[in-house]
Amino acid sequence: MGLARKLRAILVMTKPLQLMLLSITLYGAYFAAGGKPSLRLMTLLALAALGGIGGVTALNMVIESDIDSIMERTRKRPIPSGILSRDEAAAYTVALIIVGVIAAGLINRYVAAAVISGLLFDIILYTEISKRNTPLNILLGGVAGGMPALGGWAAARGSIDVGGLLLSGIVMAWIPMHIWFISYYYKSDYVKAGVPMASTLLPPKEVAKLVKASLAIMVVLLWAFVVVEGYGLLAASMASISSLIAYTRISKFAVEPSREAARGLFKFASPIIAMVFLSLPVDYWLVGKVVAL
Amino acid sequence: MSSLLYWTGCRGLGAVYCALIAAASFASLAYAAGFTLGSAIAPLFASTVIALTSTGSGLAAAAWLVLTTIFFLGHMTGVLPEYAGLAVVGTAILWGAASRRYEIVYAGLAAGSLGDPTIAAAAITASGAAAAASTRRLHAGLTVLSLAPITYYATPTAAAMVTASLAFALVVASGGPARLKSCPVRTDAMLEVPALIVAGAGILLEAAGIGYWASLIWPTGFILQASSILVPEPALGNLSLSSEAQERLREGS
Repeated sequence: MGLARKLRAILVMTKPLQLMLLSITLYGAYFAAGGKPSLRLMTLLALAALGGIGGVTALNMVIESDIDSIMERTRKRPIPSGILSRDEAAAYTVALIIVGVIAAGLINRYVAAAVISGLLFDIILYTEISKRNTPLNILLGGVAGGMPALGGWAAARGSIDVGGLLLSGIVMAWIPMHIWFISYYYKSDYVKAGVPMASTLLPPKEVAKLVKASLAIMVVLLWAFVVVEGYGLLAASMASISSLIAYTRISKFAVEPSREAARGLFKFASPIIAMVFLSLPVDYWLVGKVVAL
Repeated sequence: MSSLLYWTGCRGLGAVYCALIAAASFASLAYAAGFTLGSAIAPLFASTVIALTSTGSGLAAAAWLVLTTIFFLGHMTGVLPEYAGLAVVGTAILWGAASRRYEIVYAGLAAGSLGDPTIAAAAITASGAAAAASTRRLHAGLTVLSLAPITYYATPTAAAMVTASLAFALVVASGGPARLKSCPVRTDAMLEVPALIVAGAGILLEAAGIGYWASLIWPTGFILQASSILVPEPALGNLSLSSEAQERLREGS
């Protein structure tokens, strides 16, 4: 099999769409923290994202190839479909992670620590310890999801401070909506593979309550960011409005749960976090302009 | 304890085992973040994991943790004389020999070598033989032995790294958590190979005096190693699957 095909398969294993979304949180946090658009840093951040986010995601697929073989949604992935053997995938994946750590280390120690934290939380605490054992597994997985934002912030500021932790917490609080509705949509797959998810075990009304609570936390954290950093009004306002819209749709789902409604909510979740992290740099820039005036 | 069991899905010793590995991983993360204490704590936890895996006894593991903690604190504060480390090594050898569990010998050596390259070199040389004997694989022993000279000339941190990384490698080679029936995890030797290479690269960087990169690469390898001994039980054994699904699963694994 050609090297190009194998590399394409590795790229597939990094889940490009998820990589892109989390990269938005990474770059968004970087620019929101006052980072400059230097070519060197942009390239290093891209490599850190590829290894730290994509590489860790791919390692997940190596470890979970047994489940992937069972679930309808995932059985065409490179390992279950035979494009890559587990050995090959493990070697490529570990290499990718090392590239991510090195790129992050070239920026500073804190960015590297964020990448390594993502590895620890995603692989050991989420995939290996909690995923198949508790329906609250994504609370640990969510911490890994918050690491790109923390890394982006640390790249610009050279340290980990309250602002970075708040941005990281915002991503963590958003993740239940992202994951629980898609797992409801693929409920039969998750049940078949024996993966307990809150959305497949709890009644829809309870799931709706939990997601609403996590969205409320996300909005509170965003306003806390505004108070701490002195900017972010645009992002906080937009997130508040879109969360209200989400509340209405989630309430409707609680009354009339359906796979299509769950899919719709999953699709509604991604633009919320993208919008927050795209508007934060604009907020930062606007405040700078106002001060300059 | 009940909440720990809930989170890990393990029972009894299995839960302690998972918690220790997670703790060892956190310690290595602390090392990456710049806390030098983490470089010593990680091997401490690692040696306890080995003791627990080898004996299957929580009491033995607890005793081991207390012993190594006393040595570690004594060494760090300068209260305990140099031969305290040798006492730990001696205890391990006696314990391991008496119980015919060579991994115990290795665990003792891992803890005994903390912070002292000379003890580490002697420990690793002896543990190479223990590794070969316990796993019945010559290459495992030779791999360990080949690192002894590096350790002798390296820094104390590199010595601690070598012992911790190899301790984890030995858990994988010896079947690891398979001995703990109460824990629904298994070791994955396939994943261990690249993990050990990464950890080894970190150790060599430390030995070469490139401390910054060693402090980033080694914890990455260490966490990858930990991940190779906590792989969840394959779904194949837990579910009733169609023959087609079983075939797909075999091809994928």
